[in-house]
Amino acid sequence: MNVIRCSHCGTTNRAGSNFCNRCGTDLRGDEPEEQIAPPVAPSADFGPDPAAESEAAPTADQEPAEAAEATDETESVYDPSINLWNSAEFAARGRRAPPPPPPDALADEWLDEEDEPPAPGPSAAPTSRRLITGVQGLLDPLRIASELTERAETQTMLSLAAEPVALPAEQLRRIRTLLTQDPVLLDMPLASYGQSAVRLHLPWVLLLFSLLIGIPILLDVKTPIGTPQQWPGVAEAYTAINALPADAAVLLVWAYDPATAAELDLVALPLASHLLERQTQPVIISQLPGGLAVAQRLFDRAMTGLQTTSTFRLIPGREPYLAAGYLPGGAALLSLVAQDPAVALLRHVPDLAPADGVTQPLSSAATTRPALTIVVAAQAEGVQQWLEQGQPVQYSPVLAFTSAGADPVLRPYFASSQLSGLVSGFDGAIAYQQLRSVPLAVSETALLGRQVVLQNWGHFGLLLVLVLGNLAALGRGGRRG
Amino acid sequence: MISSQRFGSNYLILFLIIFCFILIALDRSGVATLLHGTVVTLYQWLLLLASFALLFGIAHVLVVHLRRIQQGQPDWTYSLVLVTACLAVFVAGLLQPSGVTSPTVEWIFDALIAPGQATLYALIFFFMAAAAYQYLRLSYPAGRWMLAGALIVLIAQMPASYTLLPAVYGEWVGWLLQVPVMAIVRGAILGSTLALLIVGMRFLLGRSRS
Repeated sequence: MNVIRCSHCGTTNRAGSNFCNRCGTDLRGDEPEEQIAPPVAPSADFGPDPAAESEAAPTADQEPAEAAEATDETESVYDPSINLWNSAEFAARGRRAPPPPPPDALADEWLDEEDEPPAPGPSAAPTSRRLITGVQGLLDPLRIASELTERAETQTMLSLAAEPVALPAEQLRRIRTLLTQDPVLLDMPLASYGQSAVRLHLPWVLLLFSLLIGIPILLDVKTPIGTPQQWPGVAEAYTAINALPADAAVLLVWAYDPATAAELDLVALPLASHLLERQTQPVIISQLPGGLAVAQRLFDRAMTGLQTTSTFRLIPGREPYLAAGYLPGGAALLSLVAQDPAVALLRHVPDLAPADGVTQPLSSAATTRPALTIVVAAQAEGVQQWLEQGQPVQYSPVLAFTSAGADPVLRPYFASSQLSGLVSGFDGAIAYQQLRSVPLAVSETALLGRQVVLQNWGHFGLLLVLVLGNLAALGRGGRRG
Repeated sequence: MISSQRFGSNYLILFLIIFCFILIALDRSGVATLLHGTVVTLYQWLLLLASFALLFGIAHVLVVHLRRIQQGQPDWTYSLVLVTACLAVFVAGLLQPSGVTSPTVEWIFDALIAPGQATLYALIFFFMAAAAYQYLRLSYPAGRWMLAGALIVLIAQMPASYTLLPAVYGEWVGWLLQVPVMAIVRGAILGSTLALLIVGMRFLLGRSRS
């Protein structure tokens, strides 16, 4: 009977097979051969009993005679023809490294950390530290025990897992094709990338890129500053905040932390300054562990700036803002915040006190629908989560102050009026600040201008990287990318 | 093969999910306003569970890394640093009456956590540059479109370009973002939401093969 032996796992397949029955390797180019001995179906498809194998396997300390004797004993338990890749004939072919021993043997080896692993003998199975090779781990469910006590259960589950999954032949063929071949888009082979010649230049490109960013920072370069673009949404956000009456409750969902504070602080600074200037009651919540601390620092900065550039004075007996709480629990809890803030914030926050000095508990001040909800987020998901979970049950207008990267994703929400205003990136911050009559502190204005200069240099660096990458590819001819 | 016990627990979880879904859907749609209190209670349970999960996660991290240190596993020194830092911040917060607003914890946040997080995030910029250098190529079929999009957006977002390029360029980019890009983004949002819904339904109904 003619068979095709898989070059990857050694499994014998029926002549004419396109793919290996075990690992899915493409067999179409392989020549069939005459089968030497009929294969014996291994029990549970996972090979011999590893305990018996480890006992029978000769160790390096044993004499050759003992090793041969041990090999003879092994043969009664472990027939190499069961796993053809263990045979000397297969090893001699030298086409590929043999796959690892059966998973249960390795699982036992990993479980018994104190036991010495069996040394490779003349007929011992090749050892490997890999539990899963090829795609059989994806097709055949494996259970890997993590505790010693799971040993007996592991054996049972492995034997159960070996039962074949009844899939239609066509579906099985497609899965194997997907798992064994690289995807090809539109029948157009992708140009090969990652040639060493191109990669070698990457460190130099990154060095050049670093210099383009680093030198303006170190030398405090002032040009080019340019003119920020006036994107739609900024004027709407300014108008909404400017129309707030004094003491209006504003819910601030703070969705950024120190990682993105370098950009978002400057975006949120005009907002915080404007809210304080309007004498509103910002109630800040955050679902990030570092979010509240960042918000508190930013509001303190804004207050300092206001006190130096305007006649702003704090109202005696009233906190200028309220860091209401950190809320773990993900997006689902935003719905509770929207419906019942006092319940969500567990009433442990300090009370709000209005201008007349009468203490007003949070339950009556913030339970009422806030006049405005503002999401300050580094990622578009932060805004989307509130629009999906909070706004449908709260109905307050929503403004978003985000990074420049989140802008394209959030534009549709602004265009469909789900967002009443959208301010993003340094451009948005500058445009927002230009609408205000109260200037930021001198240092803050200088910092914002400096960031715009650095943004120019960063963009210039990225453009240079793109040009260099394509020139490098073109210099190597059309066949390379 | 799924054991009968696991099969039963799957059905129990599925039943609870569907039950909560019906409660929240009825409350949100305004059909059964009497359920509002029950739904709020469910959310409160979620808050408590999330808080407990957070504490449990911290405890688990500590146990795992203490075990790594005890067993001398590879790179156990990193585990030692992690455990030491965790305990130091915890003790600093406990010893001082002002808790997380104490000067020591504030210093740790300002001098260690904030710069550390910002540094790690800034590294993304270099990954992005490396990816752009290697993949945004004219010779790649999809790379041409991505390269064109990247160039248009980069030039449009560069503040210095507004003074160098005619105003019509900014208007053109604005139209691009407002019309075709918005249509594509909306299509992508709708498509991914429908796909998520279908995958979720298949998962809940046990039709997925994972």
